[in-house]
Amino acid sequence: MSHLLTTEDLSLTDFQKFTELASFFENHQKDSETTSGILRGKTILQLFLEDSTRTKISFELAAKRLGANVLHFSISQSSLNKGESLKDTILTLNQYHPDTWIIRAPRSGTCHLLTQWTKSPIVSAGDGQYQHPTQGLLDCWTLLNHLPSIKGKKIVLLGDILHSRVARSQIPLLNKLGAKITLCGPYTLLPKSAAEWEVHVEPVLEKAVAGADAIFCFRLQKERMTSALIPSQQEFHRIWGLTKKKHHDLCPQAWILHPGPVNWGVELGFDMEDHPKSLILEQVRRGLYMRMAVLARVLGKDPLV
Amino acid sequence: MNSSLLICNARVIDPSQGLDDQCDLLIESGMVKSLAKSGKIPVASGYTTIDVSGHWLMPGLIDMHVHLREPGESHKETILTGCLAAAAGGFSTVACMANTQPVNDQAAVTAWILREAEKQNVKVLPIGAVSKGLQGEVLTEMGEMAQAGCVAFSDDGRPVASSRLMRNAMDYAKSLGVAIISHAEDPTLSQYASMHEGSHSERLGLSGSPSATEEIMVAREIALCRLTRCRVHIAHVSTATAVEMIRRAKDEGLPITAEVCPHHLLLNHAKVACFRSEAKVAPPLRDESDRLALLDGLRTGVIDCIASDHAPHASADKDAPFESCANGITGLETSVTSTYSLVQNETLTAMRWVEAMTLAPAKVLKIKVPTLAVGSSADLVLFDVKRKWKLTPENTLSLSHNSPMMDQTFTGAITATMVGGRFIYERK
Repeated sequence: MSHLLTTEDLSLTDFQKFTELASFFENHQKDSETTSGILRGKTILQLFLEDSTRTKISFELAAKRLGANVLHFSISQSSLNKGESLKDTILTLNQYHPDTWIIRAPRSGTCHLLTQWTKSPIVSAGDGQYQHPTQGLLDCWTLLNHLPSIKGKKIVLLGDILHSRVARSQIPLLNKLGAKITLCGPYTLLPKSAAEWEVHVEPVLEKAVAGADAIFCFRLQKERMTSALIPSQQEFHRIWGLTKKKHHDLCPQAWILHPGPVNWGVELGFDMEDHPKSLILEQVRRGLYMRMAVLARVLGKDPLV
Repeated sequence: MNSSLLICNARVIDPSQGLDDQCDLLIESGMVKSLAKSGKIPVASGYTTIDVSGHWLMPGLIDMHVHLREPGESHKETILTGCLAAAAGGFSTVACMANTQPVNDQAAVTAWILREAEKQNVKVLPIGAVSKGLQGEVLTEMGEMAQAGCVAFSDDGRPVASSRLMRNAMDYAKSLGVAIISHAEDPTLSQYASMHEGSHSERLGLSGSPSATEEIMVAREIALCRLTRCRVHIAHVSTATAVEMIRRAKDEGLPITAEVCPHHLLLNHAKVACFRSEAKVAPPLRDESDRLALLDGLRTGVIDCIASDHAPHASADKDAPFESCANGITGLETSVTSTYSLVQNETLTAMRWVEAMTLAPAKVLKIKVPTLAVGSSADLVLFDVKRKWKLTPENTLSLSHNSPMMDQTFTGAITATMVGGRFIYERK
């Protein structure tokens, strides 16, 4: 395969190959002899135009576990700050012949733009509000470990869907897995063209989450208040925040997922921090193995093929 | 130069005379000497005769909405290269918008533009700014600018946010007899937008400008037109609802006119996927239902004119993430040939099509109507309806190449543009 920019064009078979390989890496986590040679001699360039904790660390660790050389490039320490254009930056870094790029960018479509300027495959590590494909893959994989089949299951995406690249990556995969998807939040944070996303929209939380099998929550960015999309975090929490009581009363069986970082007391109640149904830390853990799987496959080094 | 040129066997389409027929045209001393059915003009000795069978012959066309970028941004376009592109596109008259650097917001800038324009073969008509520096706060000296040569006034590119300022501009312009051209987008509603709000923007994670952005401003301009009775021209209409509002305003008898761009007539927002910066434009490419309503509006005359909104940008301005790259599409060289497809597929009659680029814009700008009437200056364009050609960066005369139609093959080509009996452009 070449780039990984979106989950929209992934088939169910593609998804299965990623999850099988991720499981393989999870099962061989102590077996560095098997894993550490897979990407030996490969150079992976991490270009981060936006801050990140878990994505950056997990990609870097994934690359190192597979034996690749990793170069990290972030905007604050680069000539981009001196006014060098993005194009010149890419053309310059191309001269070091990276075997693949891992790109995190604040503006939608940056990864597509960069494909014009480099021949090496690009892995999106979060592309504006467009896509965050590895997060979508790892979220679905994590859930599959608890719901052996997602087909026909009620999956709720709760909160700021409109601005979420993670939701845009999850939805195509969940659809292919046969989930019944409901989007919930205030209409200011929901897409207007939901019909084309093959999802159901229900702004009332109590109706949306009733009987849900899993709830994917999303971080509410501070900018949503300054741009007047919602009046306050407090009001958002009261109406669309998921608390222990709402979970208990409406959907006690539902698994809770969140791509992080969580605003406790906003999208999730403080009383949800150690909830037995929470898969939030498991998502972080599995992220490493999924990113190992993605890098190995993008570089044509899938040990299972 | 030969003093007599006989152009034979053209299909002559001249809306000023309601003429659409197979004709010959005799040009002497730069003027139309006679125009008659093919074979009716006796050939005298000393005539140079050219047979243009298969060509359409039209009066010199007007593009009433272009950005020539000078003064200030000569890396994108100059008055010279813009005029070369215009001639290649069949236009002998262009009206250029005021958002240059400095802004054309005072008579000295207007005079500078006209001084540069005098050296060109194409007539350049400056459109002055409505507000100083396009800041939307203080009116420009429209009277002095009109005297210096501005044919209309517009803050195109920076919609006038203040209804009070726009009202005053209309009242003032009315006293001068000039039209106000409105770039009708509510800047508060389109604040973060980089494309049309709809299924594509939501899929791509781009903030969108809903159709309401235009509808709100068109509604305001109509209300202010009713209040002031100033002639108001709506630039680059892009939505179905705006077409309907303009239709009703015209039915009411208000002095409202409108134009539409080739890209809005021919493309929809699907063209933006995946993040094609050449398709980023304001107002944005909209839904297919909007596109169809624009076609109908142009066909029925609710929309008066075709104008390109030729907006050249250097590649560096487009080589950026979609949200941060520049708005604008070049159009001078493709406007005629791309919209000819609408004549081919019988959306427009040939007469309506030519009218939208001659009679209609001349009325808006109150300039001389392009005509092939005997006694008028021989300003004309020859269009080979069968000839195929491909737009490439190499054969583009504009300095910029930011067109979503780049590398597209068109049927129908401008083969020659003539001003005052002299060819200012001939296609090789």
